[in-house]
Amino acid sequence: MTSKSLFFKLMKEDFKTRVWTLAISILIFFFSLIVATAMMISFNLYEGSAYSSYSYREDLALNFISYIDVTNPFFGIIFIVLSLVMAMSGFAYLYSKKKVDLYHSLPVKREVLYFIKIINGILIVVIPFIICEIVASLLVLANTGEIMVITSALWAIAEWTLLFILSYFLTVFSIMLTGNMLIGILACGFFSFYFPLISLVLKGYQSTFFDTYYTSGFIIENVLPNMSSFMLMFNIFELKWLTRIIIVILASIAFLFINLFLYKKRASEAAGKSVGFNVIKLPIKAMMVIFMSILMYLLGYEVMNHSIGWGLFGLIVSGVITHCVMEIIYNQDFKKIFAKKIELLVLIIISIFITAAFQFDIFGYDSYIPSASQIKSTAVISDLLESNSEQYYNKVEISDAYYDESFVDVDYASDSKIEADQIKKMDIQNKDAVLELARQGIEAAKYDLEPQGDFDRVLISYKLKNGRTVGRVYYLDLDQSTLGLSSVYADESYKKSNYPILSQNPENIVSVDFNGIMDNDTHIVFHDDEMKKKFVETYKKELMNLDYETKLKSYPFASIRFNDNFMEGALRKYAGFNYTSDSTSATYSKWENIYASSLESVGFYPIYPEFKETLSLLKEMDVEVIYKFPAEYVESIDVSYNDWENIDLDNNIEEVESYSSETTPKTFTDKKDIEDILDKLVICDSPYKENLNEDRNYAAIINAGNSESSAYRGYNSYGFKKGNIPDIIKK
Amino acid sequence: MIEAKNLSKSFDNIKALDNINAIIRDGDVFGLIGTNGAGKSTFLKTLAGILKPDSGEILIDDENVFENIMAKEKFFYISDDQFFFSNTTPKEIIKFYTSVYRDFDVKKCQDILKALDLDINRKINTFSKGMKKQLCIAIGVAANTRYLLCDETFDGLDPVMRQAVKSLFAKEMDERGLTPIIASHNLRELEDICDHVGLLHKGGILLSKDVSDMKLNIHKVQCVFEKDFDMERLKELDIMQVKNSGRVHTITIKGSEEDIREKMESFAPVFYEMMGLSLEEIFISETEVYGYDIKKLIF
Repeated sequence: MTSKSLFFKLMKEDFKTRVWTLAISILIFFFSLIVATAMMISFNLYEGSAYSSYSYREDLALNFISYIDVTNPFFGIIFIVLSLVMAMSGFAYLYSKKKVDLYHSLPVKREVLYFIKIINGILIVVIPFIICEIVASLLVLANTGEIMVITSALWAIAEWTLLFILSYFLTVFSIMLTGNMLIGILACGFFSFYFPLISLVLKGYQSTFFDTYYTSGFIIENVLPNMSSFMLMFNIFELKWLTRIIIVILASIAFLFINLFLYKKRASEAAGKSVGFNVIKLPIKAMMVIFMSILMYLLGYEVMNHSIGWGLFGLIVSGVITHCVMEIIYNQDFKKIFAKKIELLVLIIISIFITAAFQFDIFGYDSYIPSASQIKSTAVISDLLESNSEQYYNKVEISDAYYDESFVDVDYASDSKIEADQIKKMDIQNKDAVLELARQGIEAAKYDLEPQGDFDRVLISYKLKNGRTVGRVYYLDLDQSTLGLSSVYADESYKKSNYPILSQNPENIVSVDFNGIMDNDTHIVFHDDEMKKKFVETYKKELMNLDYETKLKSYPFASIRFNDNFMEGALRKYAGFNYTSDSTSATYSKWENIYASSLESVGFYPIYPEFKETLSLLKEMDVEVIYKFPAEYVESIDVSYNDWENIDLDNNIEEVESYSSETTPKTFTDKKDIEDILDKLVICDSPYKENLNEDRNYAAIINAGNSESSAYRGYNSYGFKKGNIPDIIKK
Repeated sequence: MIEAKNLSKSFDNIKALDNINAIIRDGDVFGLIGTNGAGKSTFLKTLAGILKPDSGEILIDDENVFENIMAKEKFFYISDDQFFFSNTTPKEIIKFYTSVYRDFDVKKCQDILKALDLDINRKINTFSKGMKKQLCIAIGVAANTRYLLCDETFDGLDPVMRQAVKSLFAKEMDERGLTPIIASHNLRELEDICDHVGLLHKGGILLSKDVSDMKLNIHKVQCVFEKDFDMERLKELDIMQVKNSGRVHTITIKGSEEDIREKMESFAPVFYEMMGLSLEEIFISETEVYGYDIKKLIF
């Protein structure tokens, strides 16, 4: 008998013993794919006949694609259940002495047995899945004529198969390590959730105990959370498609061979015991005891108002209980509850050391500062420097619609994405200025000052020569850090990484949008390339030359956006599209009003009064620039005063009588007073907003005439630059 | 030939096999006896390559058994509680073993099952314990392997069936040189089948001898002497045990049959008769040499 024919004969025999799993697999996929698709088709046909204008075909195709897609958690649950069923039906014999005696006495290599069971386990699930998926997609194809349903189905088959295989292999891994079914299922849970949970706990420790915490590093942020087939199955951490697939394939290959190794090494007498290999008992117990101990310390500490005593109570009690439970499981004997006391003591001490390392910052996380010679370059990100970065990360998208027309939408970038990208791009070489900012931050962190007034978050990231990137977050006082911030702002790399326009070729610009005081909005399409080049280069020069001192004393009274072809097309589509259901849409389908929309959150740059050349060119292009808020439109100005220094913020008890916007604002109606106030007021009302160096004690609200008839409606609150308070208000 | 060399195996802190050395010759029926927990099953499982020895080795024709397919093809292992796939019939089980053992003789198996009156289409889970044992034996014999490892296989068989199985073994030994290795806690089960017996106790082999050798050197004599016979003269024999019933003496004596007969003739008894010894009686005498009380070891 050749080994090949033996393999297939044994596969057939193994299949016979697992035929019930095939029945389950067929039933699940028949109902979840074929029946569900038939219901979907029936539903869409009804909708199509009910509304004559309704194009049900596209909708059906999209619904089907969305249903079978790898993002649908329903199929994730199905595949997790099936991976458990297949792993247990194939390898649970390792839990039975009788069965092990039979299998291991046969003249069949263990590798052959292993691969027979592995392959059958995959085929029993994947073949019915493929057949049902293809039948379902053919049903949709027949009803829609959309060939994309077939390609989508093929992709879904490939992706789900890979995810199932990983989940299946991990379950087999759990079986290999354990000796009975209950412990095997517990082990599945352990391997599915342990590493993501320990990553969460460590992040919790860092953010709780480190004042300058920024991120937890690659291992805690990226590796540990994804060391779980469960997390990968549901893509909890939103990995990119290719990254996820590569991880799944590599992990599956690794587990295929790890499992084979364990299968060959596993002693037959492990059947019925709690654990398959004695050598893993201590590491698994240590992982559980330490995890539970440090978790309960953190909970005790946080819940009981930062009490170290309660934290320790939680640590010790949970550590002891976890150890007892593990010993009972290992020995399968309740009387062994207090076995291995020395191991328990050592694990508790290790847990206490770990918590102490975080609580008392034993390894100096907060005081970390690299030497200048270790640093390759740095990055500094703070609202004190630039608070409008999202303008350059929010992306306009033109999406295909379910109905006849496409629509324009904005994909808002998250702060973390913006920071990560800026850190990547920024290469500030003025290390001394950055290190000085870091030193100031460390000093501020020592005194644990609450951020208030002119304090703000400053993220400093060091790209070290050894390839690591280390980040710390500080809270800096604007007054004390002006010099450092000014140096950073003057850095070319800082400017270029913050303002994409500085790296843009004028040839790609098609139009600009000017947005000034009182909805003074103009859309200018360039027809003269020379003028366009001149304008763009002029703006770039003035933005590059903008210094921090100017930012502190002046303010951007207007904004400008440079549109490329795509943006211009999007604006036209947006302006002509009458759709008012959500915040991403124009209020009216008029070109003039598109600025009142979410598109204001994309791509606007500042125009300071100091940008004289730019303003002059705008004037050349017939743009009417309003520098000050016209007093004739203003009926009155309400000014509120907050006496912050005399307000007990902690207890929210105002110790002195003060007038605030909520209580009694002072109203100025005299034209001269209004002009005086308007002259000093920071009217930063365009999409690009800058409130740097404002006096937080005063807030002014402009009442601009009758809301029905006035050209300007609005009750925006404005402030004054520090040291620029009109005398009339001081009085 | 199967050879165990310095074989040791422990489970946690319990030593199941302790430095065992044994040789099982081809063509012999090897009986392995011992109390529960003596290590019989562990020895057979190690022999079958199910358990990996902690130290030492088991060789079949000079080949190590553990994870060696060539060696494993030479035996069929019948455990004391054989596993059958759920809801299967003997017919399906035969198919399974046919795919595993290259020389499996389906016809022989069916013939044996027919002779044993076992329905090949009946669900095995409806079989009694004895019927399952018979099925195992039929499959084991039909596998046509050189060695048949039987763990408590006769336990649960009625006397008639036991004789039938013994006949079956004898036929296979005669026709193709089958070597059955039978572990049992019951010495009487192995009484008239074993050529060689190994006695396991606390993980070690206490003794391992050919039954024929043991029988040649130990005899039982029933005799009646003259009234005036001087019983002191019996000391000329190597007497192991004397039992008296009136004037009838039953004496267990070590030595060759010829020597014993010669001495007995010289005593001029009224009557004497040489009697056969049971395996049990032989063991009693043999183990006493080692200072053991056989009744504590086996019964």
